[in-house]
Amino acid sequence: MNCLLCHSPYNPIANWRQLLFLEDFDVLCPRCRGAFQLIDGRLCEMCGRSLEESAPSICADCLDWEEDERWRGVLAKNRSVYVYNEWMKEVIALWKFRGDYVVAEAFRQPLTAVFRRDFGSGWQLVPIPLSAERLHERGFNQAEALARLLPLPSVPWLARKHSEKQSKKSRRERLETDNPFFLSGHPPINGKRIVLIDDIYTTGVTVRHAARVLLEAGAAEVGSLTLVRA
Amino acid sequence: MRGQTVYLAAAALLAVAAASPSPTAWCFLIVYLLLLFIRRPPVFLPAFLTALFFFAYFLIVDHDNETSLSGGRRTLNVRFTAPPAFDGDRMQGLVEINGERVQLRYVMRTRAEKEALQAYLTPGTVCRILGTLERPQSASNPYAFDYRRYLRFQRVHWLFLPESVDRSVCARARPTVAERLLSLREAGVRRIEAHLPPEAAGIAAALIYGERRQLDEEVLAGYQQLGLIHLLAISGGHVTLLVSAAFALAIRFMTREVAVLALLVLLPVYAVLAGASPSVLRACATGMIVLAVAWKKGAIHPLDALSWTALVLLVFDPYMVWDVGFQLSFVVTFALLVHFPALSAVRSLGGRLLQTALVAQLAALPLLLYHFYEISVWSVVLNVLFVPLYSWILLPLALLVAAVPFAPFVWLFCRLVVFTNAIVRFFSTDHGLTLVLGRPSPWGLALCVAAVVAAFLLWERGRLQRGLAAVAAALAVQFAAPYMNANGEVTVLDVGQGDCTVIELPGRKAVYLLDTGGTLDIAREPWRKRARPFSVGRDVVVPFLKAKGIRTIDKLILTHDDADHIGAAPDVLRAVRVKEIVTSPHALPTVRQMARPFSVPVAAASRGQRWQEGGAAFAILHPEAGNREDNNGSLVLFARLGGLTWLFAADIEKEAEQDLVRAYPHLRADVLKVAHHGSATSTTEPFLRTVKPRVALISVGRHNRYGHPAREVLVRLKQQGAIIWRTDQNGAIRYVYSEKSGTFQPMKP
Repeated sequence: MNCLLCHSPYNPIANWRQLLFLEDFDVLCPRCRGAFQLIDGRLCEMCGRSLEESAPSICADCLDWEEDERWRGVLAKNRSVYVYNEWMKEVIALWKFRGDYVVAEAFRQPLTAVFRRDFGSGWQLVPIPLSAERLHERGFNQAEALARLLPLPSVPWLARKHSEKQSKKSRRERLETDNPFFLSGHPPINGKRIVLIDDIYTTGVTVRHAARVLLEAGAAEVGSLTLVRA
Repeated sequence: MRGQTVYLAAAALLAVAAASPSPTAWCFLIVYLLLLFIRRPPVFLPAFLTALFFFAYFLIVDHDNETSLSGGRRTLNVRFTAPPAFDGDRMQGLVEINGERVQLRYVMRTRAEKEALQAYLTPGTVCRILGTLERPQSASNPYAFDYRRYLRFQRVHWLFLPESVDRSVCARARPTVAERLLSLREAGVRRIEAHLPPEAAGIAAALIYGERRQLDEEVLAGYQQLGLIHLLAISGGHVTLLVSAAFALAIRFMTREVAVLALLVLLPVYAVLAGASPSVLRACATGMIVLAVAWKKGAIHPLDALSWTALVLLVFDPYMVWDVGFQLSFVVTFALLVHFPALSAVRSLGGRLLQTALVAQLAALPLLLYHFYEISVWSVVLNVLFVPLYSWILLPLALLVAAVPFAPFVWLFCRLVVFTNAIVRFFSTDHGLTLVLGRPSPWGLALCVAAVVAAFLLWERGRLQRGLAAVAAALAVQFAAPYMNANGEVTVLDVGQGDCTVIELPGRKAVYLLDTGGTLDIAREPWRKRARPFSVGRDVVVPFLKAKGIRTIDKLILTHDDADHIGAAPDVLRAVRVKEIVTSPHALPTVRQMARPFSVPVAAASRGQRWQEGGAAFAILHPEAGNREDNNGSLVLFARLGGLTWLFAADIEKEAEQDLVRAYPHLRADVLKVAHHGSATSTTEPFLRTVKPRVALISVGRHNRYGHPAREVLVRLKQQGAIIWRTDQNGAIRYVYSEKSGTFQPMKP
């Protein structure tokens, strides 16, 4: 088999477990797989970033959020799979901006594992939408691509207005912009536990904007699952 | 299929085993294919077809593996296709008769004849020879090597025993390519033997040509026992070294493509030169696959290359599945490849060598137990030392010495060989720490395999200690198994002309060895001496004891001091702990002398001595306390075990029989171990009328020079209505019993 990222051949049977229990093969070679860094150890209870052993159980960023009464309790929790290292930046660029859709396949196993660990079948999957213009520009919605990797169906309950690219704004600017999300049609949200799916959690503005719309429409609880925690 | 050929290779191996036929392998094959169907659907169909192909292929090959010759004394045209092996006064090797492979064996009469044949019988020689075609012997002892099966797997069905080989009726035919290569190999081996001192020549010939005939028997046994024997086999390391060296050299004179192509052509030639053993074939085939892929500018995963090799070799010869070398070579390489990612995480060289040795040892463990019944504690540590020594120093040096016998290199090589041999002797004979566990039962073997697999799974998750604990637990179960076995066993071993009976009480309450058998040591002229003469002790008795996992003998009973009864005792004493030796009063001095180096207490027993153990009772019925010479002075043992009464009559004759009948007028025995191998001077009418045996066991050699057993004795026994089993016809005779009943199981009913 050839690696999905570096295209070099590799031995998919990398260990005894895979060989003997006939587990699914990894689509990446051990080197590319090894370059990703899983978030592990002690996590921030809110945003799921890794914490030092001695740090308090909630990170400073999340404290800021929770102290702001407009945003307190909007997001139940966020969990992410990988650290945003240089390698991940390259892979995201390849996948998202250069449109190599199939790269998402490399995240199926780890994303599913984190979903099973931190959420589960009681949660409804809602991918963070793109605006129509952006979708046209990119060709696919990366959040939807991730949601498709999970073993539950996802629902397009949200839609998005077109605005500046998020990455070109500062945190303050982002916080103050109007909420770009709105409900798509009249989804049966009442009392549902919803997990938002996105590629990156950077400041948490995006998922909180989306969560607020859903909560206001009657959702019981909104969390988020992202591939990367920046 | 890339990266997944291993699943096809596994299917092929199981299919060949299933077709052999083996119901267990059938079960495994079906479960395996089902699992693939569920968990690896894309692989299922190819694996299924592979299994189907190899199943049918083996059935066809096995069906066609038949002889067109018939036995008897005949004059035949014999073509020597390979140089025969000369060992002392014996010459043997594969020849071709009417296009069929036959094993020729010939004992030469004079030294001049030997030298003439050695010089003359090159591959391609055709001779008209008068001789006898005989079926090879099948295994006549439990766990023993089955010579008939072994030859049949090589498509050989007959032994040809010439009466004389006369040069005047020989002619040189045009040799085939293979025959030319074998001549070249022989010449190479002889050149090594001429240039190097014997000890170094043995190792060099083994390393370069895969020829072990010059290797010292003790050293070879040591390498075997210490799990180092793989170093003396030509394998992947050799081929990698040779191919890389040749490639590096060739690329200076030709393009890369031409160099690869040339190597592709040369590798099969090398395989023949190196003796074409399964490990050589494996290494060369893998090398060729890798080269062929490189030529096509592709790449192949090592595990795929190994799997394709297995598939190719199985097509080449499906019988290889049963070859120990094939099994070990593949299993160890396979384990190393699968475990490689975990190994490559180890940084230090020492750590990596240690872990590699441990992987190899773990993977080989079930096979080693099954084939060799014991494991050495030193094995892993010595491998850490020997693997780099061999692959980086001895092997390149051996190649260098063989190519240019430059004196300083030869000197260095010899010193190293002497040094390594000394280490091997130190850890095998002088301070051997081996654990004799016996051949595992099918369940025991399954447990061992499961423990090893668990160990690898735990190891790669960083829990090596837990893994090793699992393996240790499996070995402990194997160690304890005989003590849980509710069956007892009496085995009259086939030791040729001689006596040897093993009595194992249920739950291994005690093990008694009644005589050891033995070979007569005939003084031979030096040229007749064989490198490895047949020894009953080393080749029959000790392997049987080890296979049964017998580590301690409670009583070694030596009935009298004839060589055919006690000759192999030193071999037994060397290999097994003996608590005490019991012998007849007359044999006491001789036996004491013999047992002195082993510091085992020796006592004489005489009439009236009795003991009980594990539900069995034993009594010495003969001789009386006084000293009595010759056969009539031998110990006669009476036993009550397994619901039968037994009389082991040793070598007594008429006089002692009369004594016995006088002393015990009501002596009865269900089983009579017939006296003196069935000699006419024993087993007299009055004795039989008293004892009234229902079963008579005769331990006697095939074609013995004394004409034992005597026809009269057989007639007398038949008149008594006794069932007769003889070791020369039935092989070993076992009586397996539990509680009060048991069954007789002759090896060849």
